Amino acid sequence: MKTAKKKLFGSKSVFEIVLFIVLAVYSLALITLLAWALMTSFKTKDAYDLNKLAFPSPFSFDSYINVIRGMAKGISSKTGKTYIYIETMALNSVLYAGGCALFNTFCTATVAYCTSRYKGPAASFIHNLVIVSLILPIVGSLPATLEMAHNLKLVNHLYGMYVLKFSFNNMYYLIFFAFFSSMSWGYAESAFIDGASHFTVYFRIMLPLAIKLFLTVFLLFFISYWNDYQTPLMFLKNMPTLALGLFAFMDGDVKKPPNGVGEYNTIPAQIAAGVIVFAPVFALFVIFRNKIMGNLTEGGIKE
Amino acid sequence: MKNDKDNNLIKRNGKVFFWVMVALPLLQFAVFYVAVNFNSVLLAFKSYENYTGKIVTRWIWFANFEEIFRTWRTGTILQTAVLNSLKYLAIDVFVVMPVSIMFGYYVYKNFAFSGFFKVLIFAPSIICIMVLVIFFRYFVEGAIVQIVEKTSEKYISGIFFQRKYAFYPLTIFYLMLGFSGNLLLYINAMSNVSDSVMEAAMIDGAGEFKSFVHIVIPAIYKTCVSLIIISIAAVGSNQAYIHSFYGSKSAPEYTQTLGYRLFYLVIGGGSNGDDPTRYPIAAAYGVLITLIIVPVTSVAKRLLNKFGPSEE
Amino acid sequence: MKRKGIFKTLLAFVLATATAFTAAACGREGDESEKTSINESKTQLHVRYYQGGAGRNWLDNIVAKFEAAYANKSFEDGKTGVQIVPDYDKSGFSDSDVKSSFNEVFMGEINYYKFVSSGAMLDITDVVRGNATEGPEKSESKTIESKMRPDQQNFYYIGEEGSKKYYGLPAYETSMNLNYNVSVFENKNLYFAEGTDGLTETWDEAKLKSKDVEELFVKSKNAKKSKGPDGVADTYDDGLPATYNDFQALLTCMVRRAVVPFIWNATSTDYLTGLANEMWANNEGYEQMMLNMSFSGTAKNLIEMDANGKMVMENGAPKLRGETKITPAKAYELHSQKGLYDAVRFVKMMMGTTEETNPARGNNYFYKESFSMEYKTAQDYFINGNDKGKTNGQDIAMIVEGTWWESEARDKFSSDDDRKSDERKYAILPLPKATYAEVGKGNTKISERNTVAFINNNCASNIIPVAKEFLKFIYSDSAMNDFSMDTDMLFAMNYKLEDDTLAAMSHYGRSVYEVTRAKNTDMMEWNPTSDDAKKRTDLLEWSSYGFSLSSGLTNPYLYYNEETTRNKTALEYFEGIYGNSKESWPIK
Repeated sequence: MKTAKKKLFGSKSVFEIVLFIVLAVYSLALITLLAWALMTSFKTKDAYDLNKLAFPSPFSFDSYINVIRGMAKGISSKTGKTYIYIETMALNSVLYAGGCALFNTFCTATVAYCTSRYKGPAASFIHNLVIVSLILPIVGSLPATLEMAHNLKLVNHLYGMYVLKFSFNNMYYLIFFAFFSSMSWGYAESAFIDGASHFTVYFRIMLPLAIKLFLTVFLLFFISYWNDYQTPLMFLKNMPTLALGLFAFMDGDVKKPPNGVGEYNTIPAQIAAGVIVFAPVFALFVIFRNKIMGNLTEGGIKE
Repeated sequence: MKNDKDNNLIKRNGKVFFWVMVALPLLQFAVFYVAVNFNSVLLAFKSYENYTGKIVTRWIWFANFEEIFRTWRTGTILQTAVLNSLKYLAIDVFVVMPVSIMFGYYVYKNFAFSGFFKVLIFAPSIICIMVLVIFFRYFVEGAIVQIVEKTSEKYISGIFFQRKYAFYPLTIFYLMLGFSGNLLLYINAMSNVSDSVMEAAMIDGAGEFKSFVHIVIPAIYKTCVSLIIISIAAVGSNQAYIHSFYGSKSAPEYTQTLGYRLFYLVIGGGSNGDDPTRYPIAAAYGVLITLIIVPVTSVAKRLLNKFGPSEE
Repeated sequence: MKRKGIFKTLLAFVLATATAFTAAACGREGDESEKTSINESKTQLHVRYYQGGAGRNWLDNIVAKFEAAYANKSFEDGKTGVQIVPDYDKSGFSDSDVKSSFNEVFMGEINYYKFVSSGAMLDITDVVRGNATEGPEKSESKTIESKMRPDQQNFYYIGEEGSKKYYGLPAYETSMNLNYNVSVFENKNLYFAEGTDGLTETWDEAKLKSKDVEELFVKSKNAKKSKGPDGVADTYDDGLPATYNDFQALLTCMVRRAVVPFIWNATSTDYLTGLANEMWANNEGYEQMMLNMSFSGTAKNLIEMDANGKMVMENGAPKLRGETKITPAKAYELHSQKGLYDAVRFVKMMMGTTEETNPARGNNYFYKESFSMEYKTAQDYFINGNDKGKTNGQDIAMIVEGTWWESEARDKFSSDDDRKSDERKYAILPLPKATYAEVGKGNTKISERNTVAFINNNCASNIIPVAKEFLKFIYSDSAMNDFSMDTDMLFAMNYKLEDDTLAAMSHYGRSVYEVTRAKNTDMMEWNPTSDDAKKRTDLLEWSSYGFSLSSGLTNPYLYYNEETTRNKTALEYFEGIYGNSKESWPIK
């Protein structure tokens, strides 16, 4: 829904003004946090230790250089160690997050579609299975999952992660289920009459109609996997992602400077690492925000 | 024109389509959920020993549950964890959700600076959580503590390790991520509201607030119900980002949620890594929580659907 | 924004970022040294090592010596000599990682029972019961097992009766300490003067916190010192606080002379609990403290508690029970050990407050940022803080850290020579005794972390002999000397440090040897020693076993840091510990 851009002052409702104030305060807090982080990333370690609030003096790029040189995960092989640096980690993150998000979203949407439109005992069973699995707080499964993944040779392979994430028992199943349940079946019936198969109906009619929700959920999964460091830590050590690299950098699992003196992961460097990881993604998000968010808010099924 | 034969063929093909499409997901579920977790649930009724170099499990039936009840009776750590979990649930339902919906409405209606706010509210979601924790923790421990010291001459030693203060930054962090988490879902749900209905409401003199309450809320109610149910269902596993702040070393007891407590039991920084002898107790916790959450979720869903607003 | 405009902006952005990256990335060094050029004429042995505080230099040295010693030894047809391929990393490894790994020898912090029971570790009983070696045909005359203490043998030798085996060996020893800066003590005259032994025994708290304490301390660097906690003159602990009262007097003197007594870190607040455990063990003594590892035996030092869990006093002091039989079902009674109570008192003393406020420490005895500092920063402040003007011009006297701290903090020194120089004098402070009557009794120290060396159970059969030789080599006295020389730490084994090793170590390293291997020091590992205790390793978490309350609090220092509990007495806290243990003890 688009309305004409309104002026800030004028005949505004109280509701709108109150919301504006709350949003402004919240935004200010967020901007303060991000600005402080950016400022701190240009400090030296000693300057940071002496004063957390002052402007950088001297103004230094050392932290960024430390990150580019020191934020590295060593990958072992029979001939020694190879270091993966931040740029490769970024690529790994895209492949990991993108692939897992795609498989996860597709699986969730597909199962939700099947259980919502093809009623029967099997569909009810699967639907209840999801509800139960969402409620059941399974603990202690990580070691068992790791062992299973090792046995199936899924560890340290991207395809292994895609297999692990090809699941449907997540909260978005309910969202998809509700969506497909409320969708008109008229399109499908027309298509059947015209001789289309169920596969055709799903892939060429239903899924396209759900594309906005699909993309929304994909984006949400993508973000979740982009931020996930625990799964790569256990299952994808040989392809470290940015999140894992950051975790390791914070944890002290870093390269040492060649002369052995000093350290790469000072606090300003950790913050600089955060800025390096955050800024490009944020910049891309800002540039493409309308494409990413704008279209997702438009339309709906036409009456 | 369809005849019975065509209808039967469509039905049969439908079954084929159904089973072809769910086969792989079901297999994945069977292997990575059922098979992996089956033993975890059974462990709730067993003991686990490995000090002889072999894993020995024995049926001890309800002894693990007795130990949990004893912990409940003799201490307050569990009560604290439950209370904290409920606190975060209340924050999710009564603060995060309504505020997110209102933020979403502001963006959806394209009010002043909505483009700017849209980007900023959503920013915490796209920032890697490790980044946010780094920024936030050092900001609070460094900058905020320094500001407090300069203004009040009081130095707060270890703000994340003080019962009086720790809740505030942890909650603010939780809110920050909560506001942006489901924003897109709400905006997406709002986009299904018919333009004509909104315009008609405006013409009839309904203000923004009335439109929001009487048109938008009912339209997105089903989404809200789903998310509330999910929040209730997740009350036993929600770690509230505690691990991100305190790592695998045990967070102070007053910050722990049930989810963190269970996580720490299984993975947590024990003397020498995770100790499998704790799995049975953790599994018993899981079973207990499930037994409580399932009926609560079911009742909540019924009540919300019965008493909530309808689009009509 | 038009499509072209977006594209141009994006392109400019990407180019700028790429340029900056490339420029900085040119400074990436050292990668080539991590790669190993495989020598096909030799047998390869892959070693995975958790590269923690001990660093890697020591292992590099031992590897070089091993390769040289076995240069002419053939383990495989057509090959002579051994080439070790290192895989050193700060990240840990799980048992699943081990089982699917190509590495053959491992060394790291693990859960021993878990790894053995999941089949990740090879039986190395023949290695442990065999002699260590310095090369082919150069066996030592004693077995590796003979270098282990009985409690270590008990823990590592596992299995059903009659079929027990060794699967791993304890690697380096760790203990939590108050590590003090000797130079600060010397420069600020913080040693007790000769003739002050026992003087503070009758001083009350007011006097211990007054300027009267100044008369207890030496007036110059060369002045003669008191006897210290061992009660013997001319030993390494001369001039150090012998009793709790002495320690309070020392704290008072420090703050009067603008020295910050303590610093620690927030990355690992459990270091503090570790120190509290050390105090508990030191007060109880080895034999009584070990009852906690077995949940059985005869307790001789329990405080009498009434039916309501309150301490019974007699003449103003805790009344002790007679000998008490401890069984697994009654093991909670060990939480009424007097040593535990005294440990709580010591914590309370460390967490005490001063009347005046100081910019570096507020009105506490610890550096004010301790509870928000990273461990590396705390080490830096302890070593360099005053030099860099970060501590308001004050030296920091003591750091709560493990014995690995100086090795871990190598990059805080300008060089290794600097670290081992006479200007850098650090040492372990032997913990004071609760009362003067206990001065002269021995010390007990704890090694909590299980760093284990083992062989992958999936090791190829033709490589097993090489792997076993390597283990035997590492556990030779010579190799362990090399370890100590480089890291200033000790392997968890009984071995003598040669004179040239000691000479090459830093002052701190020599102190570690002196204190932990003194005749009057007993070392224990925080590991269960009875079947009943082994079944409940979850109860024996060193970070939560001793000081837990029913609220879930486990760290006594955090208890006294809290504004809400800061003013609680040691008695109240101790009664809470005992009550919680008694009520929640699960073994029936």
